[in-house]
Amino acid sequence: MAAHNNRGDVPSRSVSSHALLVERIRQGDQEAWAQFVAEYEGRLLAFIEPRVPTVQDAEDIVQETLIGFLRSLPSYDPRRDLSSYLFAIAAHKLTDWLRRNGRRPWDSASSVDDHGRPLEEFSGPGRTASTILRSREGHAQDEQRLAAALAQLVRRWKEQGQWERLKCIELLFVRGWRNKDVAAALGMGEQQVANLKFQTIAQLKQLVGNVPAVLKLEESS
Amino acid sequence: MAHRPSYISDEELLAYREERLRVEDLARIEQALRESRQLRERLAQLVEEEDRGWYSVGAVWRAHRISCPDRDTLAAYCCGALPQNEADYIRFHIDVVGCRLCEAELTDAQRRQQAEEEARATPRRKRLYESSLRYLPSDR
Repeated sequence: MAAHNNRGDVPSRSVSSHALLVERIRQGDQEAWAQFVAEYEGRLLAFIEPRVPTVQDAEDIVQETLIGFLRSLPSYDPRRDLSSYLFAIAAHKLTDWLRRNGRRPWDSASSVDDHGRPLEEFSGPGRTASTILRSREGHAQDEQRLAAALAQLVRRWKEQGQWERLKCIELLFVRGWRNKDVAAALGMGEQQVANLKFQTIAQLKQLVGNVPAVLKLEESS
Repeated sequence: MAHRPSYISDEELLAYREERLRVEDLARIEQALRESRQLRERLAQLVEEEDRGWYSVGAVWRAHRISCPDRDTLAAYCCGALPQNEADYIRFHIDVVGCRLCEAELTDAQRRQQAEEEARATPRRKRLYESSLRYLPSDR
């Protein structure tokens, strides 16, 4: 498995150094923890600040995130990208705060499980509760293969300078926009967008086979 | 880039739930959810599907940060050291795709750069002030 950058589950220089840092934290090394906090508090704060009314609220959520990380250490897989993992905890703590403060009345999920324990384990996209992750165990391998295939395609496009293709596929897959809207946003022809989508789905199928998520994309074409 | 669709896609609803969109988009979706029962039902249905183990290509892309630039690339972007095409893409990834994680990483990188500049500037200002002070006209 390979990837263009330090994201995803791909071992890299950065992931290795983070794994060492996490190992030192696991052993109770206070200096390592100080280094970790110094490295990550700024970006966590920048992530949360725009969503809450005061800096104090944001700092409280960052604190909860860091504590959540420490509590989740026994189950953290150091091959995972650390910042993605931390942001996932932060998003979870933030949505919990928003819910408690009446900003998401339609959203009933909580950051504690049925026994009041915090849900800090993250191994897949979307919902983060361990109860949900259990239902995904059978899909985890497909998901990893899909992530690796996507990373491979994106790396290739970046290396070849195919930025317009990347923009097009990102709007289609990540934002879920329709072909005509992607075409209008990027100043491309609708047929050109459809072709890029078709080619990408074909490449994904070649790399990962008939994974349901890819088949659904194909259906929607 | 002016064009934005008027609808809210399923991927956008999922990204809203994951706090993975820019604040303006989150506010727009929050407002739409308050106003539309149909949209709330759609969101509930998507959550139910996720609970059963379903995931979309978009969800995997977001969770694994497939196209997010790494920290070094963002730092180079901050300094204006990237080729134009790549810099354009990063701006697009943050402004149009709405990657809030990269936006937060960028904000942090910019703040750190400012702090470093401030740390360098403070002793320089003090030195310049002190070395020029004796030329200041004296009080009358």
